[in-house]
Amino acid sequence: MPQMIIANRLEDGLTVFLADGRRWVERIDDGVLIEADAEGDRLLALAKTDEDNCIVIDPYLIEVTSDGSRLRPAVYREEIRAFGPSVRTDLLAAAPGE
Amino acid sequence: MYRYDEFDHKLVAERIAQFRRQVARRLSGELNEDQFKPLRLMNGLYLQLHAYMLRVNVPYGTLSSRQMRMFAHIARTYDRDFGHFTTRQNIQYNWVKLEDTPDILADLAEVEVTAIQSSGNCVRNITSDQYAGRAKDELADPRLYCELLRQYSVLHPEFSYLPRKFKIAVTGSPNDRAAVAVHDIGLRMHANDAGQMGFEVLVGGGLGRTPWIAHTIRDWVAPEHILSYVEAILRVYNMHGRRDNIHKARIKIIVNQMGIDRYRELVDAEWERIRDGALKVPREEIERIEAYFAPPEYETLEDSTAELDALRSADADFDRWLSGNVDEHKAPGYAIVNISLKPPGKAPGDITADQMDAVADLADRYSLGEIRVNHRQNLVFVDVRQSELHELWHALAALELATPNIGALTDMICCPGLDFCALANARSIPIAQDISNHFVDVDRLAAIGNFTINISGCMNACGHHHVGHVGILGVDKRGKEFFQLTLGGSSDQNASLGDRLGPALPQADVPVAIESIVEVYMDLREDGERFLDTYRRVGIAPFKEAVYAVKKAA
Repeated sequence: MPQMIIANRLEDGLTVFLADGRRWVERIDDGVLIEADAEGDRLLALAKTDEDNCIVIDPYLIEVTSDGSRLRPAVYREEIRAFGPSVRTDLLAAAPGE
Repeated sequence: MYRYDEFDHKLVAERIAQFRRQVARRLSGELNEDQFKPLRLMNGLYLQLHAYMLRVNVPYGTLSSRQMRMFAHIARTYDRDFGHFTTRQNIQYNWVKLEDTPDILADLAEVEVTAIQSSGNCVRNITSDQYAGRAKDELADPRLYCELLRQYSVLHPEFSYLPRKFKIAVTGSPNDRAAVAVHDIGLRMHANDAGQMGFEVLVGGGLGRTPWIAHTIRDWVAPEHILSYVEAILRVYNMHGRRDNIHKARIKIIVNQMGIDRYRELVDAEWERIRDGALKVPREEIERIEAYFAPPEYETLEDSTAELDALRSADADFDRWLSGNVDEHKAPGYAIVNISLKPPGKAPGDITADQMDAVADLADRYSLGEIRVNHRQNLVFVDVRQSELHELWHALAALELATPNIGALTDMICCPGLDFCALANARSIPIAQDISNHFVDVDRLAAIGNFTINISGCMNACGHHHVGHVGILGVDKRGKEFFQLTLGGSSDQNASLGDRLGPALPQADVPVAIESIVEVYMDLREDGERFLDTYRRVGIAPFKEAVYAVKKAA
C-alpha cells in the first residue's frame, strides 16, 4: 500500500504532510505519495531532520488509499487527522488563512 | 468570588514571562520537543491530533461574567470560535498556535484566570459542588477551602513533580455533586459529634484503567488542620508512589496495594510531625478568605409558587424546563438555573464564542454576574430571582441553551474522543450525538427520569464512564471502533463502579442497546425508582438479555 509522511507543524500544531521539494502541506492530496519502502525510509530520515530543525513534530509514515477522487489514510485515526474532526467538518475549512 | 492579591498577580505575571521565554526557545530550536513538553504541560498546553490544545482552569467551577467574556474573546481571537467545558470544570481550546499561547495567558491573567497546573504531574484544578454557597441541602460552603487548597498547591515546590497527576474535590453537601469518591483526595464537609464542622477525608479514588472508589482515611479533620493533613497524604504518596510505570503511578495504586490501614499509619505518622507547624491555618486566614465568598445581599422575597404554577400550566415547554433544569436555592424567592450544553446532535460541553458572550450578559442581568461550571459539562446560574425565571428561560431558549435535560439520559458526559484527542482509541462525540438524536422526545426523557450516560473514547476515562449509570467505553478492535457498555455506576454519595454488560458493540448498535436498557428499566421499575435503583435491585441479567437478544434477532 502507498505511504505518506504525516506530522504536526511546530508553530501551530496543525497536521501536515511531506510534499515534493521538502515542503510541508496541510492537504493530503498535495503530499508526496511513497510507493517503495526504501523511498519511505529516505524521506522519513529527511522528515526527522525537519523535526530537529524545529519545523515539525513527530513525523511518521502512514498507509494511504485512493478512492479515485482523493487520497485517504487507511486507518481512521489518521483519516481524522487528515480531514479534521468527523463531528466538525467545518473546522478545517474555517482555518485562518484558508 | 476570590480576587487576586498582589502576590497572586506577581506570581502569574512571572510565570507568563517565563513561559514566553520558553516558547521562544522552543521556536528557535534551543529546546527540543522532549525538553519543551513538560514545560508546556505545566502551562496547560497539549499537542493533540490536529493542533495545540490549551486547557484553562476554572477554579472550583466559579466564573464571573467578565471572565466568561474573556473566554469568548480567546475563542474568537486565537481559536475557532468555540470552547469545550470539561469534567474538571475547565475550558479547553482546540486550535491555538504555539506562538500565541503566551499572549493568551496574558489576556487570561487580566481577568485572574490561569492555565497553571491544568496539566502535568501536580495538583490539578480543585473541583467542587457547582451549587456551593447556594444549595438548600448544603452543610457548609466548600469554596473557601478550595481556594485555600488552590493557594497552597499552586507551584508548590515539593509537589510539582509527583509520580502522576493529582486531583482533589470538595463537597459541602451530603448530596455529592462533585464526585469526591473518584478523586485522589475527596473532602466531604460534615459536623462531628460535638457539632464542629470539618472534613471526612477520602483517598485513593480514581477512574482510568484501574478504577477505584476512594477509602475513608479519616472520619473528621478540623479545618485548621486540613492543609497539614493533605500535605501528609501528598508526602507519603510522593515517597511511595511508583515512578517506574505510568499506569501504576496514581495514588490509588499505592493505597490499594499497601491497604488503607497501612497508608493511614504512614500518613498519621507524618501528620503528627507537621500538624501543629506552619500549615496550621490561623482562624483569621480562614476568615480572610471566607469574606470573599460572603453571600450576596439577597432581596427579601417570597417563593413565587403561585405565579410559577400559572406560567407552568400555560406553557408545557416552560414546565418541562422548570422541572428539569431549575433547583432549589437556600434564599427564598431565588432559584438555581442549570444551563444545558447538551442540545440534540451537538458535542456535549461545547459552547460558541457568541453563546459565551450572551451567557455573560444574561449572568449580569439575571444572576448577579456569576456563572458556575459543573463536572457534567454544563453551566449554572446560581442566583436567579424566581420572578424572572420565565424571562430567562425565553432568553436561554433563543440561544439553544434551554434543553430541558439536566440529569436526564441526554445530559451525557462525553470526552473529546478520537475526534480531537491523541490518546483516544475511538470517537465518543458521535456516540453522544447518536443517542441524543435517538432520544429527542422531551416528555419521554422526563418519564425516564434521572439516567446518566458517561462516554469515554479510551480507558483513561476522561468521560467518567465507570461511574455513569450507563458507561460507554470506546475500544479499537483491529482498526475498527467498538463500544463497551457498563451498567450501575454512580459518582454520588453512594458511589459505585459499573459492571460490564457484555461484548462491545459497533457504533450503530449503541442507541438500540440504550433503548433496550431503558425499556427493561421502565418495565421493571417500582414507584419512585431511578434507573440506578432498579438496576441495583434486579441486577444485570435482564438488561444483558435484552441487549444481546436484540443483537441476536438482528
